[in-house]
Amino acid sequence: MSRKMPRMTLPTQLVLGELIADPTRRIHGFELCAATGQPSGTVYPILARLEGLGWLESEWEEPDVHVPAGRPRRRYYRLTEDGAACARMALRAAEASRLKAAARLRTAGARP
Amino acid sequence: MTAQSQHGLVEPLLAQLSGSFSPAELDRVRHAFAFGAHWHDGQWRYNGDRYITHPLAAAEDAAAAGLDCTMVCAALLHDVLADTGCAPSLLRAEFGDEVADLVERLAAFRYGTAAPDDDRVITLKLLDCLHNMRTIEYVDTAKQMSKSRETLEWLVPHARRLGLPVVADELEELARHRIELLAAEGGGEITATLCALRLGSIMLPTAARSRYLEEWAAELRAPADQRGRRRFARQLMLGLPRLSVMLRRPQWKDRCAGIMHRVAESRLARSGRKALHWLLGQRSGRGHYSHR
Repeated sequence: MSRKMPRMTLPTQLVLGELIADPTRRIHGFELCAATGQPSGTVYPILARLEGLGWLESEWEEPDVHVPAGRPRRRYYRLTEDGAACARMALRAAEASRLKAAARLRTAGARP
Repeated sequence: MTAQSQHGLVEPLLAQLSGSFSPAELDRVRHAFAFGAHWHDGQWRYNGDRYITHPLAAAEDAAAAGLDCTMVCAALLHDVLADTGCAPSLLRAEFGDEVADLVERLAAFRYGTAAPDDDRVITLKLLDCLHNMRTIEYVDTAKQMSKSRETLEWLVPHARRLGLPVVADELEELARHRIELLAAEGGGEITATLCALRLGSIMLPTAARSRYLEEWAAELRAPADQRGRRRFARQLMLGLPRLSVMLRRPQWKDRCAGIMHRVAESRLARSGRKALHWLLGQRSGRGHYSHR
């Protein structure tokens, strides 16, 4: 588990926000794109990054689900325990810096 | 390779027949193979094999079914009239009326035409179709579908009527399997998209390539319609350079992303876009986009 932090871009925050909503839930790529409204070309690099950091783990769908459904197996992503804790922290930090920036803007706007 | 140097291909068939055919009959089979190999020389199957391998496979099935010398020769020669410049009179002069009649009537026997009164013509058609269905994955998907349907509706009942349950069962299984596969793949559209993604995936690290292609094969079936699938695939293509960088540098420090990474990424993105434009241009039959 790496202590490194991913760059908290808005798409990264959206992806983490979706995953943290229910940390035990596993979700596949297209589902995550649909839920966050982010393009697949943005979501997959973020997933790869988070998986590389150990925040996420992924697994193949079980044969008793995809074989009767008549399609290839899906890859499901889920937050690891440490990943969930880190994600919460990172999202809080991102939120705090956003609030701070907004406050600075308000102060700047109040000046004559 | 000339027709002469293909002669070794026929040896397994001759060995298969040596117990049941006379030396004169074996000579006739050898001659039929040489004649077929000569006329099909320079022709290729969809899978890249020499064309003569197809009549040869049909002849091997004929031999395995215990058919006579006339049928084995007709199987070896079954496409020379339909697919080469060989004149019917030449075939007749070389192999006699019986073989020539069979091959001529086979060339005229197509889906939708009345069944010939000679069951041997239908048997030849079944042998032809059996090898075609075994190797059908190499032809385009529209043809795969139409050939599989023809097989089920037209040839399987003929095979059952002629008392060839083994041939009927294999044809039926091959055709059903193919239709199920095509239906699952969205009629070939997903296959084409995956081909494009496979090309694009060259930029991913080798170890990750097959995992992502398998993952996307499933994901491409998730969007509700073709538009959604295309958007998903297009965005994936555009994201490949970034994914490639991420997978190569899992411990990459985002916060202090060096300028070199960004340069490398934008270069990769540019070549990815070029590849995509080229592919889209090819698929729509144009070399480039036209701007109006």
